[in-house]
Amino acid sequence: MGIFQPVYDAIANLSRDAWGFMVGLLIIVAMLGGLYYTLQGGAGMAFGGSKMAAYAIVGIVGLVVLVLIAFLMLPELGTLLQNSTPKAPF
Amino acid sequence: MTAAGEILLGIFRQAWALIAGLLVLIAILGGLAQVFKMTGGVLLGSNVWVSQAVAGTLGVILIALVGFLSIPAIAQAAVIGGVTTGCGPISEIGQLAGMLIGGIGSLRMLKGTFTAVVSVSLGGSGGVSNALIEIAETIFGMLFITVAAPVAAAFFGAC
Repeated sequence: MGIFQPVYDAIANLSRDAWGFMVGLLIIVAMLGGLYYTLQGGAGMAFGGSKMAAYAIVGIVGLVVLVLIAFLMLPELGTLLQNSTPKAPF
Repeated sequence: MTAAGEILLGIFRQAWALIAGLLVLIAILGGLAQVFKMTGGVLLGSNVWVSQAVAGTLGVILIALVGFLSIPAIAQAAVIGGVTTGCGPISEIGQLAGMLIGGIGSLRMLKGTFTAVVSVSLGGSGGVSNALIEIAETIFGMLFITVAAPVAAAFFGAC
């Protein structure tokens, strides 16, 4: 990138920090969501609410699958984009 | 004159690499933001959020990919049909202008794609239409110069 390399490095560092922050935040939100579903399922089982328990189990599994897909899919998509970055056509 | 043009094109190439790199960074971060929105939508039971986030994630990647694949092809097509008329200084000026217009046009199209990716990452849609307008303007300008430069060369009495 020549003369623009310092600019890119600075923005890339900021982006790395932002990525780490958002991933951490996502994990926290997912854990809180899992706790919420656990409480919902526990309450449902406690007073015989089978529908609540079923929703809670599906919710926890869906949350885990969603976060896993995000963590597995996004880096792959990022690699795909980086590999298809074109050279200057002029 | 060719040397000066090469220096300018070198700077443009570096700017191209910078914008392309930033576009990848923004696309990845935008995808993560959409995933965050998707997770929030799942937790709050908001189907609209989830569907918007899925569409947003795919939109970011698609716009970036389409930009990466189409802009070089468009730019090369316009540069190939560029200025070759005339001889002498007029021809050199024409070739320099063609190179610079191709470089600036390509950068402008990439900048438009960058704006579109940023807009989609934030959940907007206005940036995409603006980017398309900018790209269309650039293509029209690049095509226009292929007509205007030979006319100007003939006007100045080039062979």
